[in-house]
Amino acid sequence: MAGNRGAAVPRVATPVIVFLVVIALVFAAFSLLHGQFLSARNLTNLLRHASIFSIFALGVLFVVVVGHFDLSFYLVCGLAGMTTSWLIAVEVPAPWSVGVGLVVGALFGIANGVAIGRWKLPDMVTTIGTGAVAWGFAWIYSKGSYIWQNARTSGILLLNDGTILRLPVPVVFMLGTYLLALLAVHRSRFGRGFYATGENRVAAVFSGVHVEAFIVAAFTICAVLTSMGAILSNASQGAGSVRVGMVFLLPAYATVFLGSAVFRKATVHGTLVASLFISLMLNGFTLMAVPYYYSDLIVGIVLIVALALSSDTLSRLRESLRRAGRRREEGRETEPVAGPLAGTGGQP
Amino acid sequence: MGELKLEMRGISKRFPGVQALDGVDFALRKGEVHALLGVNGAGKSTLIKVLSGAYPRDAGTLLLDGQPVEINGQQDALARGIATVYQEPQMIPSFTGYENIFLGAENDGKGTFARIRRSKLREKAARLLELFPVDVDLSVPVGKLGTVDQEIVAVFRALSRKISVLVLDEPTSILTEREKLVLFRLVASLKEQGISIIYISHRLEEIQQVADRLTVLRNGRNVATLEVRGAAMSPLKIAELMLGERMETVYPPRASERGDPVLSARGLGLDGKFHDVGFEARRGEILGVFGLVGSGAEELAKVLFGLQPPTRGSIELDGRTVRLRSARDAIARGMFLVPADRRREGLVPAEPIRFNVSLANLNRVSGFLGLTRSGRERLDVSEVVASVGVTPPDIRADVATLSGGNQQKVVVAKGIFTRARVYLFAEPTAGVDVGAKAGIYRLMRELAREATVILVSSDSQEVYGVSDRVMVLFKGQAVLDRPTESTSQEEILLCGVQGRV
Repeated sequence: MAGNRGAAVPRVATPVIVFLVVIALVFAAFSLLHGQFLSARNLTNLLRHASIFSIFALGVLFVVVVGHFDLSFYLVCGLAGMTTSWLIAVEVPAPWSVGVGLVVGALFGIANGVAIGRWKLPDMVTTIGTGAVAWGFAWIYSKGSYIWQNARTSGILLLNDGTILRLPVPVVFMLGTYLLALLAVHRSRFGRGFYATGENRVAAVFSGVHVEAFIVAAFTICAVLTSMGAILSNASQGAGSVRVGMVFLLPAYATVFLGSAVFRKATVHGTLVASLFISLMLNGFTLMAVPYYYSDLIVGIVLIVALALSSDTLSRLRESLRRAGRRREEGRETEPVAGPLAGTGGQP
Repeated sequence: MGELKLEMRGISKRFPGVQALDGVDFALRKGEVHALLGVNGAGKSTLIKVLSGAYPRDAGTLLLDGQPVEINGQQDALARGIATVYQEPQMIPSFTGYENIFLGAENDGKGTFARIRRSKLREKAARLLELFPVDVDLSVPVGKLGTVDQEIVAVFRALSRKISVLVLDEPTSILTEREKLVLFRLVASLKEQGISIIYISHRLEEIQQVADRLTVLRNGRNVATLEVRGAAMSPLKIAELMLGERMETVYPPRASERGDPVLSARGLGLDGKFHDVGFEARRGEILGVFGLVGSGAEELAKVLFGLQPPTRGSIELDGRTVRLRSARDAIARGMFLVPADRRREGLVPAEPIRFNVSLANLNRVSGFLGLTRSGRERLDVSEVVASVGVTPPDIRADVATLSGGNQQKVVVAKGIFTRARVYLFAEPTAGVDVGAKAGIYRLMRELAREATVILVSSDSQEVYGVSDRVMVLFKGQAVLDRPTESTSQEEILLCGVQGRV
């Protein structure tokens, strides 16, 4: 058994080590390229941003694990954030405002899950629709402008500026959600259901897994986590914006697939490591005043490369190339033996 | 008539663990209908796949019009005039009959962007219909046609090219009399045009109506080639040829005593699939249900496992009527199905054995708040995996890397892990090598000691060999229901293929 484990480690670990080295190199490069990068102020900013961003990526992870896509979260979370900001503007206490915002997000998640898991509507098109609905509702609150009234006095800004045990609040949220997700996905029966649903839905049904419930749960978790991310992000900006989630759509998917390429499977820890890498890059680009379209371009490439690396197609291609190579070698050996027995030489 | 169109000499093909074809000789005359018979696994489809270029052969020669040929792939086979129509023809349901017939050849190779002239396609289709007069509407989407009409469109698709050999792979699952006539008339007109036909079927009565000669394959060998219109053709004789000598050794001994009834069905029916099926499965015994594709046996297994609600009748568990709403429900009541398509329905291949075995009973491995108890899981799963004989018993191995036999054992282990009282096995040994087969039969017998086992299979030999009681379904009806001692292999097979002895 021990020998077996030893043999299995390099397969998984090599890409992980390579990836950690890449992160260290990128970190070193930014430190050299920009004097402000290593400043305490920037590092705290980076940490806050990475925390918020990683919560978005974690939400998307759940949907990817059950084998679906959600193209509505970046607009649904905008609605949830606007709901919270609007409630604060009309002097509802901050905790209630946040709670209601999350509930609004959750309702959209449930709607997505039921439409896709139970009614079997196509995931991408459906979520484009629900996203547009959320976007429309968000505008009703704000007419498209920021909502900042009472933000200062309500205490909502503590979600960004406050600390718990010396840690900034977003970092605490990140640690909390990731710890829970780690337990739920990798250490509990629920994780088995999520993966079974995504990897072989039919077999999951035959095994008594309640696949519809897992799909609804995944979309709901995604909506709630990204709504939480949006509320944190609004707190860091000091105002609610309908566009808060827009910058996260591309990098969140890039993160989940980068993590799954590195760890050979979409996982919670993979998503965490990948989200640190992506937000590191985004932060570095911002410092160096790289125009946003360059950073989109680069993250887009990361997404596609990660998709290619984690897809079955590529490993199947590699396998078939290897087999073709082997066949060519065998062919050379058997070719001289012409006649009816030619084929039998190749048999084991 | 006596001239040979196609000859196969000494064809052999080996798959890992199975000698699928072992020196088969097969000759097809010009313009004849030649039926190919054999029980499941006899080598019929492998022979056809070698002929149509889907598989390379290991040994043997192929002669077309007396000339040795090599066939590299299905396009090559088509170019040489050999076309195959499979059981479930691949077509585009929303396209009309003639669009499907000329799919990919719409503009006579005039280039990709040449205009498609529907009128011309229709004209060509009409010409085909003149040549082979059949009553089928080619201008409606094929998705709206019945099975036989779809098959006819597929045959026409083959005929739209110049072909001289047509292979029909089990063209009829369940046919109405009208459909049978349509199909047979088409076959007759194909013959008139000098096309040679290989007709694969289980159904003896149909073969008597359409075929000139028949060849019986058994264990990858040609055991007989006979004229259909001769004295040699009696159903019993054919059944004997198909079955050969009995292989008692593979099967474990039968049960000595019968327990109480555990699962019973009364007047169970599913519209269009089966009707009025009743049985009593007892603890300690294996009930075997034999039925070919289209007999309703497959659907019966799914209904018993709650995957589909029955349209009629009731299921009783321990004397109490139960209404199963889902597989989840059935598992909760102590039932487990080892499904026919294990890769699609039985396993999550990208996950390790451990994940797969505990999936159907996660209660057993989880504790507080649903957190998994890793140590407990490792121990329990290892024990079950070792008891079913998966080799090597490494529960961290991904299921995708295992052989067919080992994969099947993992599915059985998954069932045992639920501590079920009723085990349903659907086609448990399809694609499993001989050694692993015996192991699976032994497992079924062991399970039957504490539980009740229902085997649903289209393999008459295994149903006869393993079961204590046999039920045969034919066209959705139970035509035989008897203790195994008082029936015979031949009787079971004949009931399954023609509904009577």
